[in-house]
Amino acid sequence: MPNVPPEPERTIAYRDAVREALRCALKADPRVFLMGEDVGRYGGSYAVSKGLLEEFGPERIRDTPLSESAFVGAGIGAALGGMRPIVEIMTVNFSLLALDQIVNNAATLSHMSGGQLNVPLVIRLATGAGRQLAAQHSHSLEGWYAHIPGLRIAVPATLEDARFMLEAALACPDPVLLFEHLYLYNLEGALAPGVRQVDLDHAAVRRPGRDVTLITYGWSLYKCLEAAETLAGDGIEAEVIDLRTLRPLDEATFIASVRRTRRAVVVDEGWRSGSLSAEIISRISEQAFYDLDAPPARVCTAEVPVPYAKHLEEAALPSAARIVTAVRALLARGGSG
Amino acid sequence: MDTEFVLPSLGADMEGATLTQWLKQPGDRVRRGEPLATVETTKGLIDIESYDDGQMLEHLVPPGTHVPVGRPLARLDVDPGAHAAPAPPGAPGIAPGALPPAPAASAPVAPAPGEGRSSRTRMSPAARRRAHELGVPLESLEHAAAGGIVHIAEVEKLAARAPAGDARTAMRATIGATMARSKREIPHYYLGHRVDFTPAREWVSRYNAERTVKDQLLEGVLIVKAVALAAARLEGFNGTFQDGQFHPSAAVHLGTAIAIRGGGLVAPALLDAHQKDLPTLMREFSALVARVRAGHLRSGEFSAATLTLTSLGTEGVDILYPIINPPQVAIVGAGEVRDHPWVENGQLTVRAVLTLTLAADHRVTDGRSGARFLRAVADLLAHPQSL
Amino acid sequence: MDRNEIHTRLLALLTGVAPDIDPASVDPARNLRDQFDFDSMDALHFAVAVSEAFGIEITETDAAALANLASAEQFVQRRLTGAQRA
Repeated sequence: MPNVPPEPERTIAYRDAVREALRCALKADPRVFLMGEDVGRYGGSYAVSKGLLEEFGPERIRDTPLSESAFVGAGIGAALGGMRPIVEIMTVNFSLLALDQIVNNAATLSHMSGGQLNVPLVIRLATGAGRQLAAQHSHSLEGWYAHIPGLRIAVPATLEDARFMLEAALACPDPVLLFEHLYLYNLEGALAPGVRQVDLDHAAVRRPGRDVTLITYGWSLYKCLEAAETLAGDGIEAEVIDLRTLRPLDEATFIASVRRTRRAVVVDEGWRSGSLSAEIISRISEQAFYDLDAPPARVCTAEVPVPYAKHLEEAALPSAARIVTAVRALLARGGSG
Repeated sequence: MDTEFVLPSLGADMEGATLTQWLKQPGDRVRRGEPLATVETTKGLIDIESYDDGQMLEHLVPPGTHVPVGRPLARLDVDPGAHAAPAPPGAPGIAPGALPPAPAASAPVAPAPGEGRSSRTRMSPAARRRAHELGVPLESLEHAAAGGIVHIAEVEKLAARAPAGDARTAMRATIGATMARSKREIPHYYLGHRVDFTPAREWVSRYNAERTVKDQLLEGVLIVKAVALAAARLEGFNGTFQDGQFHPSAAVHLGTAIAIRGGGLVAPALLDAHQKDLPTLMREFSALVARVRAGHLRSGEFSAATLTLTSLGTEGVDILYPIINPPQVAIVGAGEVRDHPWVENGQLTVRAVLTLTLAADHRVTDGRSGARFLRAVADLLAHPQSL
Repeated sequence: MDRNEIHTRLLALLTGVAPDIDPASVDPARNLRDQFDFDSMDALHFAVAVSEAFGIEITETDAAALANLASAEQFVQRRLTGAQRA
């Protein structure tokens, strides 16, 4: 950005970064409005939209009845009608009630109309486990949605992505699902001062390394960074890749990394069977097979409905310790080279 | 017809070879069986021959390139009708252009039943590629595997230790790997048979007395012919065991184990040995040895053997216990012919005695048929004039 | 043809039969079989090569004369001078 004085570094919480993004979007474009359960008077289940009702009024911050199918459908209609709706679904499990709208309408209309009807809809969903919300509110279903052509699936893991991905999503002519990990809302840190916008196309190397590639997204990014730090103490340099966008997958970035490190561990809070991690490993096998020095490995959530009890939940989810173990196992088999 | 000429597999353990020289240039006429190029393998330099009559169109690979089995080396314009010619005898699965690339074995797959693949070296794909780049023979990595799997680190370690392209080391590794595989996979049984070689020895002596050295026969050629004839007559010793079953061969391409000075061994084949007369066999055997000495074999004779004969005739050894050269199913050993006491019709005499041994594959035959086979060889040697 | 020339040509023939031999290492008095692992085929090849190179007939009974380089030299010289006299 030319002639913009450097912004001082500032500390911000993930939740506030998302709110700031919403506020900016609402200010920038009168076609933008937010709707969902408890987004108005309650300020959002995770307090993301707190204060927005007061600032922008009930026309643009709309509380909806408890009917996901209805308000997602309304969002699709509004998008078709020229608006830029942001629909919040409280947690990803509730999106199952709107699957028909998302999969059969939002994802298909552009294709079925020969490109005449775009659906520039943004759906924000809280996803993931780790807050003792038990089996029905702890899913990571973003991998499911990444199966569907016509949708764009993005996962802001960093503060910068939380702050700027919404703008990119609103600029996209197709429906975009933004999955915000509910554990990250309390994440606090310094917002990188130079960043003014981000894209929805590229994965990001969050930590460079030469010995193994950790491929991940969402909350698991932080577990991978922690694992990489531990491994560095043993002289193992792990490269950490934040996928950011799950559909379309930026395979060029992770394939290039795996070609270099020759080893890959995919860390995915989803279950492993029929999962996004399976897709990533398939692509590695297809495109980097002859570069592999060890079978690709995965750290995923145990294949049980996510338990409520804290120690069981922790045991079921990927953790830095499990990632370290997986990497060491690969390298033990592969020698130190 | 425009076809691709691919690098054939010259043995079960061959992964690839380095092209050292083109013997036919673009535009040259090519005859079936004529050498097109020379490649360097762990077994030495080998001339690879054309399967067809035609014309060399284009070289696809420059000299000095390492090429995996199955990779096209050149384009040939094959004469109409000529392409239907069968592949060189006994060379399983080297129809031109039809070969898939060498399989990259690394995944811990369960062996296909009877296929015997469980013994191949498990290597990571990256290690396999690095081994190619560094010229490290895969066979030599068999024991370098940590936890049963070879990774790139082991390849680089081995490459640092052994200078690349050490042909002797590579050949030793190849022999070691092939023999180890044979001993693991093939249930060998062994038989020995003492043969009165006196008639053969006397016949050769008479034959040679009338001729100058150029036209003389070696006694070994009689053994070659007798073994080849017996193998053509009795089923179960001539052919290959692949994909869980025995594939008999109508023709006997007799591999003859030839020692290489300073260590090493190759067993190129005398093609159609059962059909050739002794002077022809002698000429071909002589040429074969000369080519081995010069380190220059031809692809056809290299991969074709359907049975092997090994002899330590001049080393003072009476009995050999040979190991089958897979995928063949038998190998005949011949010791030194020496005078021994011999009882015949209740009389003690002195005869020139040859001890023949047979190592054969129990998946295909058993001792009784093996005994019949050795007896057939002995009977043939008893009547050398009919060879 | 003097003895030196015969020696040089025999060495060349020997390395023709066994290209891996270093001609400088040949001990003329030592048996080729012991020295270079010569087998019967090598010995025959050597005999044929000598026969063709010097234009002399060699029969099986002469083979013993070619067992080492020194005796081969004598043999060739004897045959050549014999041929000249004839």
